[in-house]
Amino acid sequence: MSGFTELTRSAAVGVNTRPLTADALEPELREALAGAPSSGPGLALDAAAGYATAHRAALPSPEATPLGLPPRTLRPVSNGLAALIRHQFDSSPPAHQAETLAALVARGLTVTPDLLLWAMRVFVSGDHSALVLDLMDERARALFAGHRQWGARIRRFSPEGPGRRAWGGETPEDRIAYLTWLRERDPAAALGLLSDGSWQQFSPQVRAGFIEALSTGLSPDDEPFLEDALESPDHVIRAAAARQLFAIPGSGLVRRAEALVRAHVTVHKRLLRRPQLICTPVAKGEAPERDWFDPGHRQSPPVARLLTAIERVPPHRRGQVIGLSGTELVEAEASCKGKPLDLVEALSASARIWHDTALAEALRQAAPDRPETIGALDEASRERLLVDSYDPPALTAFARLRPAWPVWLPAAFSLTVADAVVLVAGQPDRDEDCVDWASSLACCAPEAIPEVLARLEQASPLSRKQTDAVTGTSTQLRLRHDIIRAITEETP
Amino acid sequence: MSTPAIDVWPAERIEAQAPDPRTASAGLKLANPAVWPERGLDDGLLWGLCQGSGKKPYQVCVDLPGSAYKCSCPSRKIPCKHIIGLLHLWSRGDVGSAGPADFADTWRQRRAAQAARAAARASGQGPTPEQKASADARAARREQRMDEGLAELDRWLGDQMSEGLARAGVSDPSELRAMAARMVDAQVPGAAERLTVLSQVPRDKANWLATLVEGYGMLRLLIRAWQRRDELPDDLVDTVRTHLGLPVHAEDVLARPGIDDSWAVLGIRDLHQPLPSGRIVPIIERHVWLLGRGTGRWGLLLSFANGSPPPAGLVPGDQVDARAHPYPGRGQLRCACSQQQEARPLSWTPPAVGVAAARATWCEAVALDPWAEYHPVVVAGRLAVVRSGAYALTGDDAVLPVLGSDVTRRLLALTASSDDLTVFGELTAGGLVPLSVLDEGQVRQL
Repeated sequence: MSGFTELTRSAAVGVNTRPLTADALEPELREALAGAPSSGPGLALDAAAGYATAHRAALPSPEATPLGLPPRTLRPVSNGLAALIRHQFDSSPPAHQAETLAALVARGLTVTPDLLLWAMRVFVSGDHSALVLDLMDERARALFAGHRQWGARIRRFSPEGPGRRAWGGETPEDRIAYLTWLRERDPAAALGLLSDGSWQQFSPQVRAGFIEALSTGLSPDDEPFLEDALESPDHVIRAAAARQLFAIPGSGLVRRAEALVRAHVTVHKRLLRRPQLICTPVAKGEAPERDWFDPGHRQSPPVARLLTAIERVPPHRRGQVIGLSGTELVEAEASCKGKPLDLVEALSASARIWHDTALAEALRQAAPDRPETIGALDEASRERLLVDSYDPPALTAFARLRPAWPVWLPAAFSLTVADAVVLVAGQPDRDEDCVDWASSLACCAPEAIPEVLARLEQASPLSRKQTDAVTGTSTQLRLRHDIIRAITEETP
Repeated sequence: MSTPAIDVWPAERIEAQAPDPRTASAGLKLANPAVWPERGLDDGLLWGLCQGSGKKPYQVCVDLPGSAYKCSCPSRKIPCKHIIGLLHLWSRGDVGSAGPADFADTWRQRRAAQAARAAARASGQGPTPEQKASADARAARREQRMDEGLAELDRWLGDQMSEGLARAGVSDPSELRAMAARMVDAQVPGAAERLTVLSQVPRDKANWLATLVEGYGMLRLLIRAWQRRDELPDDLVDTVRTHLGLPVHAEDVLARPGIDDSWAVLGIRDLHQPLPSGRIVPIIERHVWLLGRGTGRWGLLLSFANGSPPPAGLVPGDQVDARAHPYPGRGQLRCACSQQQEARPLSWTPPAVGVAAARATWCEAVALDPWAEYHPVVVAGRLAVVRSGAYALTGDDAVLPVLGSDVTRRLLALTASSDDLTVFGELTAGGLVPLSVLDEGQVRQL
C-alpha cells in the first residue's frame, strides 16, 4: 500500500482512530519531513503537503490515440468579418443570418468555429440547415459525424450514404436522412421502409418530414400510403400528404375534387355577356371527410368544400371538368344558392398550387386591390404591381397590399417601401405602419441598401416607436451592408 | 488641441471591449449618428453626448491610448453600451475632430492629475515619515491578525485530521465555508479562497477524500511558510504573501524596474471566483497573457471585475510596446505595464516547445512556486483523444491532457487547420487549458 493511501485512510477515520507513523511513508518523503512531528495530526498534515506538491508537479499521462481528423479545406473569414457576423447573429433576424451564410457558402468561405457552433444551434432544423452543412468542410464533417442532430445529415451527404443502420437510429433525423437517400436510389424500397410503422412514434411535425421525404420519385404506387396519411387527425400530416398527392398526375384526391366540381358547378355561356356559374354547396359526406383538411376559406363548410374542390382542379383539366378556362373563370359571374360567390380566393389558391401564371395575371387584372391575387404572380409582375400601388400621401392602396409583400423585398420595391416609411414616420397616428414597414424593410434587396439608408436619413420620426423602428432598421441594414462588402473583399 | 493620428479600432477590437454579448449588441445599435447630437475626437480623447430615453443625454468619454472609459449612465458595466456605440461610430468615421466638451475636458484633467500623482510616487517621492509610520503600524496589526488567524486554521486542520474527514459532521461544506469566512476576517483571503474551493468539491466525487487531504496539505504548507518567513528567501516570502492574498499596490509595482519589450498578446482567460458563502459569484478574474518578443519573458495582466468581465483593452493577436513591471515573488509572472503604446496586429510567430518540454515546464513552475495554479506555455503537438473522450496533445513520446468542455474541444479541433497544431494555454495540475491556437501566422482565440 502506498504512503498516500495509508494517509488518506487515516485521514478518513481520523489519526486518533487509525494512527499514522512516518514508517508508513515513502523514504523520500520521510527524509524531506525530517524534523517534522513523527506522528499525530501534524505528521498527517505535513505528509499531505508533501504528497500534494509531488502530485501537482506530476501531470497525468493517459493513454491517447490519434484524433485522425482530415485537414481543414475551407478558410474561415477574418476576425474582423467574424466580429460583424457575431453582431448580426446577436441582433438581427434569422433571415439576415441565413443571407450571410448563403453569401459565404457561395464564395467558398466559412465562418469561424464559434460561429459555426452558433449556426448549428440556430439552424438545427428548417431550410437553412443545408447552409450550415455547406459551411462545414471535411474536417468539420468528420468532427461532427457523431453529433446527435447533425451526424445524420452529414452521413446522408457522405459518398457512402447514411447506411441502413440509420433507420434504426435514435433520432428521426437519422431515419429521414436514410429515407431520403434511399428514395433517391430506390423509391419502392424507401416506401417499403415506412410500412414497419416505426416512424409513427414521432411528433406530427416530424412525421410530416417523413412524408416530405417521399417527394423524390413520386408515382401512383405511393398513393395508397398517402391516402392513408390523409386520415391523420393532424393537420400538418394531412397537408404534407396532400402536397404529394397533387404532384401525382390523376391522383384520387384530384379526381374526387373534379367529380365534385362536375356535380356542383353548372356553367351557362351567354352571348355578349359573362359566363354564369351556378354552384351548389357540397354537403358533408359527399366526399371522404379526410379530403377537407384545409380550413382556409372563410365560407361556411359546405361552400368552403366547393371552393376547395374548384382550386384543386388542375389547369389543363378545367376545360373538361368545368367547361371554362382559368381566364374565363375569373370573368364568370358565380353564385351559390342565389347569392354572389367570390371565387378570387379559391382561384388565387389554385394559381399558387398549380403555378398557373395565366390565371394569376387574369386575377391581378380583375381584382388589383386584393392581396391574395398577388401571391400567385411571377416575381417581376408582383414587384411591378407593388411598386405601382404606392399612393402618397394616404398610402391606402399601398397598405392594403401589405399581406402580399414578399419576405425579401425586390430592389425597386425596397426603395418604394423606404419612401413609405419616411412618409409615415412624419405622421402622428401611423406608428403601427411605420414599425411594420420599417421591420419589413430590413429585408430589402442587398443592392438597394445604400439608397434605402440614404432615404431613411430623411425620416423625421415623431414618436419614440417611430424613432426606434427607423434606427433599428438602419442599424441592421448598415450591418448587412458591411458584411456583404467584407465578404466580397475576402473572397479569394 | 490637435488630434494626432490614432489607428482606428476595427469592429472586432471594439467587440472585445464589451463586457458581454448583450452590451456589444446594444452598443452596435447605438452606433447611429442620430442619437449623438454632439461628439468629437481630440488628442486621443473620444467624447460624445448620447441621447437616451431620459431628458439629459449621457456623457461619454474614452481615452483611446489608455483604453479608459467613462459614462454618466447608471449601468455598472464598463464599458457600457453607450461607450461601445461611440467607439463603433468613431470606427466608421462618423466622429470628426472637435475640442472636448466641458465634461470631457474635466475628466481628462482628472486623469492627468492621477497619472501625475502615480508618477511622483514612482519617481521616489515617497510618503512623509508620519505616513510611513502609520503604514508600518497598519501592516504590523495586519500581520498579527494573520498570525492569529493562520494559527487557528492550523489547529482546525489538525483537529480535522485527528477526528477524521469522513465522519459525519466533520468537514462538511458549511464548516469549511465557516472557516473560510474566519480567514476573511483574519485578512487572509488566499486561505479563504482555498477553503471555499474545497467546500465545493462534490462529496460523491470518486477522489474527493484525496482532494481534501491534498488541499489541507497545501494549506498546511502555506501556513508553515508564513510562520517561518524569517528563515525563507525574500522572493519566496513574497510568493507566500501573494498566495495568502496580501495586496500589492500597482503603484508600488510600477515603481520597481521594468522590462521594455514588444509584447505579444497570446491569450485571455476569464475565471469566476468563489465566495465563502458558496454562492455562484459574478466576480471575474481575467488573465491576459503577454510574451516579450525580445526577452522571451512572460507577463500576466491580472484584472478583476464584479459581475461582468473587465474590459479587454488588449486582445489575442495584438502586439504592444510597453514596459512591464513584474510583481514581487518567486515564479510570479504577474506584471503591471507602463509606457504602453497603441496596440497593433501581431506579426510574429512565437516559439513553441514540444509536449515533453511542456510537461517539464510545469514541473519547474511548481518547483519555483508549489502553490502555482497555472503557467503559460506555447506547445506544439498532435491532437489525440483519450478513453474518456477528452483530448490530449501528443508528441516526443509524451501526452499532455487537454482540459475543457465539449464546446472547448470542438473549438480547438476546428480552429486548428490540422491535427498537428500549436496551442497557447495555461498548464495546470490537471493538464493544459487551451486558450488560443497559433495558426497560419495568426493567434486564434478559442
